[in-house]
Amino acid sequence: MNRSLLRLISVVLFVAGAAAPLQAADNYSIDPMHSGVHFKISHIGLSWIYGRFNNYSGSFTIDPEDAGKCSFELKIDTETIDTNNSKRDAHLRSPDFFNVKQFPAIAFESTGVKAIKDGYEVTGNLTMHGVTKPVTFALVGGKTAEFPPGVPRTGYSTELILKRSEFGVGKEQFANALGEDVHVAISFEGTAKKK
Amino acid sequence: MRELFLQAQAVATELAPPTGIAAVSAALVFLLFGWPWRAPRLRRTAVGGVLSVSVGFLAGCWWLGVRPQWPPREDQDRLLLVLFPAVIVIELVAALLKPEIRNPKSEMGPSDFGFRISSLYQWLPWLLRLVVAATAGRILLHDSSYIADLSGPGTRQWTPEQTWQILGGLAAALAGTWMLLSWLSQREPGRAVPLAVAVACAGTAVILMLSGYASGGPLAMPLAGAVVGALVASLVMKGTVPLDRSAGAWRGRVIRRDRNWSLFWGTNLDQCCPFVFCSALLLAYRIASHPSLETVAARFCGRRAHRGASGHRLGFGPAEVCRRLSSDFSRLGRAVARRLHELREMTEIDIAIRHFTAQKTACSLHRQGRKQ
Repeated sequence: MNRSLLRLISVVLFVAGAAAPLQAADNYSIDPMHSGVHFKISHIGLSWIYGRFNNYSGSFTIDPEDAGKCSFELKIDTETIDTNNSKRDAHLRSPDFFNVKQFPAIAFESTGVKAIKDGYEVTGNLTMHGVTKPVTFALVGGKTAEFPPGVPRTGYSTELILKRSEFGVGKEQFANALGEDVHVAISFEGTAKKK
Repeated sequence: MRELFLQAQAVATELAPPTGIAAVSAALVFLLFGWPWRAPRLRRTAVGGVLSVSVGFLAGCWWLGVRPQWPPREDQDRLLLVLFPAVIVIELVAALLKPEIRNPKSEMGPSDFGFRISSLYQWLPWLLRLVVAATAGRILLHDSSYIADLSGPGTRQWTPEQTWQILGGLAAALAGTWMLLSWLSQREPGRAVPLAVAVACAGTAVILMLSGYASGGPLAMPLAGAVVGALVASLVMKGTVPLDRSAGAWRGRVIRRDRNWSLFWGTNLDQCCPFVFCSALLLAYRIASHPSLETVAARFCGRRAHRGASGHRLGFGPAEVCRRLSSDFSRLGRAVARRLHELREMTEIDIAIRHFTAQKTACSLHRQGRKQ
């Protein structure tokens, strides 16, 4: 009896041990080569000005079994703002807008993740221009591939609208020239971290 | 040229109301304290000078829509919520500690505010000013990527040695400017120094705006307006106007911000250097008006010292400063216009060459086509 019980326990432990890596969350680092952080903002209601941030980093954890264990982190270097016009970029870096010497990064850290169709609904704290606000957005994607062979990766995309006045980006005198809503589009791939 | 004119017109339209409001507020406050129908009191007038410039500046900022946040997050918040009140307090202390009798023609005395101040404390304002000068840079740059590791350990842009050197240099520059202006205003009490300060402030506003800080630059215009408003109000008052120190303090601050910008964010400053030059020129001009230095300047420039019939050196009044300024600016304007004309000629020649080359190419292509 004791011997059979021991065998059963050992079998259970073995199976549990073997299955653990399969159920564990996968950690990824954002691959900047195959990612992008873009935005657009209305100019006096006539046209859209498009821009992007060229330097960012981040990581995320995906647990296919339990969305609650997923997490996302992203840090964007505000100094690398690029709207294809060097003078405008310099102005955007100035204290009139991002004040990059005082606030060199835009940071996002998730606080809760829920599974939805084709992805996740992510809630988290976005810190921009020294102001931290909760934001929620739908993250679509999650397909996996190996590129190059042997490097597993996955990717997600999202689009969200931020109110720039909520974060104090852009002084009042630019209210007529620039739209209040900033349309942000983020798409990223992550390569699996080696365990 | 037309585009430049339109831009200047737009900037002037935007900045005129806050400057006017600052001037009117400052004039009203100064008249309230100076009360032209009564005998002037030195301390009360000095306090009025500080408060008029401060109230005028605040009124102009309010009109501009500047609303600093508490707790301060950015350099402008710290400028308005930390440095500005500190400078007001120091200048008020300095005004209250003024020697009781400076102008024998006026009825000044210990009863200005009902108390006497021992002359032992005369050094106190300068001690406080030096403290402000020494800490202003550090306060403005607090938690910036220059001196703080905001993006992880070791990411600060300046090493501790560089930080000490730069902040020390800026502190010395600010203290030096402050002392120099104070010294000049004591040497030549009157309206010339504050007027020069106001003109330099207005120039600094344009510099900062053209440097790419469109919301920070206009702050200097209410300051210039407030100084001018107080000066205009002083025309109806008897006796000397003790505005110089407070104005000097603010000029020092503006210069500090100016240098701050040229060092840290200085974009397009090459376009604004005439204004920097004018600002520095004014100060140098005032310094050179010292008799000993004037002699040196006269040797270099081949000019005689400016002296009146009685042999005393003549102080430069507002009219003289305005005349010399208008002369300098007209010379500057002519130089700019000449340069623009040259540029236009060059562009026209360039266009003509391109047109000629294009015609030549078209002709040769046509000939080749006919041959074939």
